[in-house]
Amino acid sequence: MSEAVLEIRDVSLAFKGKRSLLDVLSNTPVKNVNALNGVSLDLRQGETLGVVGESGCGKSTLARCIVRLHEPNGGSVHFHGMDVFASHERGDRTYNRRVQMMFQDPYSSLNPRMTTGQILSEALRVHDMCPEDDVPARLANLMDLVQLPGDALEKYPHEFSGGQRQRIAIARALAVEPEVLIADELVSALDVSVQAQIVNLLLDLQDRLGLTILFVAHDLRLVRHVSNRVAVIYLGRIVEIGDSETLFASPSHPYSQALLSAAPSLDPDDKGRKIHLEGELPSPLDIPPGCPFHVRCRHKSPKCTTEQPKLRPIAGRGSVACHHAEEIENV
Amino acid sequence: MSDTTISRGNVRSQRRGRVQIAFRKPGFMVGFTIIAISTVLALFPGFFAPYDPNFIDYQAVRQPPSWQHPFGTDLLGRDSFSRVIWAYSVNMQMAVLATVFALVIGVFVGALVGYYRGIADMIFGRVVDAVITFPFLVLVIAIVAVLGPGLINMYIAITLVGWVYYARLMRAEVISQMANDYASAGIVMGYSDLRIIFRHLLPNAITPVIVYWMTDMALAILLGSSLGYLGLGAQPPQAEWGVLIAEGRNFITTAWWLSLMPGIAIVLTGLGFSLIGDGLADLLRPRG
Repeated sequence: MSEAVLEIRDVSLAFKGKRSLLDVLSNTPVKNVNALNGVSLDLRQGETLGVVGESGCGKSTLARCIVRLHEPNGGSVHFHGMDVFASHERGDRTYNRRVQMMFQDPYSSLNPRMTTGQILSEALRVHDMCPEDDVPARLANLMDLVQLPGDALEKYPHEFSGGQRQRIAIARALAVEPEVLIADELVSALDVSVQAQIVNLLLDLQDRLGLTILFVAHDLRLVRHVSNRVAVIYLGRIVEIGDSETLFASPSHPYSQALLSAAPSLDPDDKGRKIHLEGELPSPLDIPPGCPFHVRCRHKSPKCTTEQPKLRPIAGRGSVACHHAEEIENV
Repeated sequence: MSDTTISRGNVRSQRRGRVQIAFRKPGFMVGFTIIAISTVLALFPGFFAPYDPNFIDYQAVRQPPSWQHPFGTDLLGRDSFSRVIWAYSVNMQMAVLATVFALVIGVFVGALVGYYRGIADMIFGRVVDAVITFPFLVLVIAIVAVLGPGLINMYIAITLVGWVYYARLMRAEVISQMANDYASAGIVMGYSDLRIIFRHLLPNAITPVIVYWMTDMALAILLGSSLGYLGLGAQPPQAEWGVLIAEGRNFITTAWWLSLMPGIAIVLTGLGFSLIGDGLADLLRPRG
């Protein structure tokens, strides 16, 4: 097992709820949105870790916490042993250089008033990535890496398609020679054909540059295609994490089973074995006690309603947060 | 791979194309012409005015418009046309000096409180409330009354009140721009706050402020001449439209040209600035 680059320990984040005057007078407690509730995971050197889950489960919040766009209420993030949120590290820009993030929306992630060349050379200059004389050569090199023509440097973001913009966003992230890339729904906004191009480009770059990637997405096939390991998130908690092939072939947590069975199959004869979840996703304003999944779970026992299961390793599989992981049959 | 092909086309020529489109709009064209002429008159009044604006001729008092005196003469026999022309330099100067400092202060303060929020933003909110509750003119008159009448004090008074309007606009625009990922990307790239505010957010947030600035220049001329009329701005015998209207006020039935001509000049320049502001709104909007 290779060394962990990023160690995320018990990270939790609650967004403060609005409190009206009436709430103050009637002494109603503030409702917080509990986006993350103690997420722990290691990102290992050179791997691609996929993060999947429903909308609103905290995938993007986790990604944003890692790059310090949000400050967690509890827990810690260590990068090569350095505490990212320690107060004396806050002003340190090298962390932000070494851990880069790419955003979901290609239409808002590039400054509309700057040409591609300006966007990329700014990144190079601010971090003194190369001598001033070498900037044009480095820009051409970056354009080659993301397979865009050289004259793209002269153009403004509005002159590009969504896929081309994502390439520019990737080039911007690569300009500062990062070790870790956080891809937050990198291709969700793109056409399927373009998605494949961008994802293959990313994997190709990972091979060549030895990048470590955290790939946040809701498209399960895509995650299976790109990831070495996968983490399944439910209501701000990791319910299962493990080797990608094992997890996709035989998910252990009842939620992972339901999530994976919901993915459409390409086999026209595959008619069933879909697990339909009962009930709604509980609101992160009001997370049920015990196992947060018990309200929708087919296998719940009285223990599930009171005691919160811990993430624990299961023989032959990954780690699962379920009291009954051993008993539940794989689907 | 349609994804990697890019249509040909020169960026600079597209830029020029947008300017041409703006000029093709009649409103912008008219506004631009009015302000261009006004600026030339303001810079070289001596070149266009046939007489010295303060030359007193008791032989020709309150003459109606004629070929010799196109706008007539006032009660001291001064050429009204020359005085209106010379007033251009004072009033155009007002349009710039009464607004430009408010613009700069407002853009800085608005961008900073919009970006950092927190306690500074709350204090700023109270200041805005306090200033905006007073009618603009009343507040300016009160400040001029404290500082004393005169052009410089008038600029100070208008700036003290006016920056709030720019800052409020800038703050709102910066906040809405921060919802875009390019601002987050700036943080993730490890850029400094000042770089994110002034290099990334400001160019995208400033368009409505520039458009408002054009309207505000028209308002500044109106306000400046109002104060001149009330005796709190430019002081006679200086030729200024408000002062000229005030001088003609007592003779409005017998020598109507004294007040009408500077009035028309005010309306025309105000209209010019408004039309330019309209056209700029289209010209400055980023595409895509």
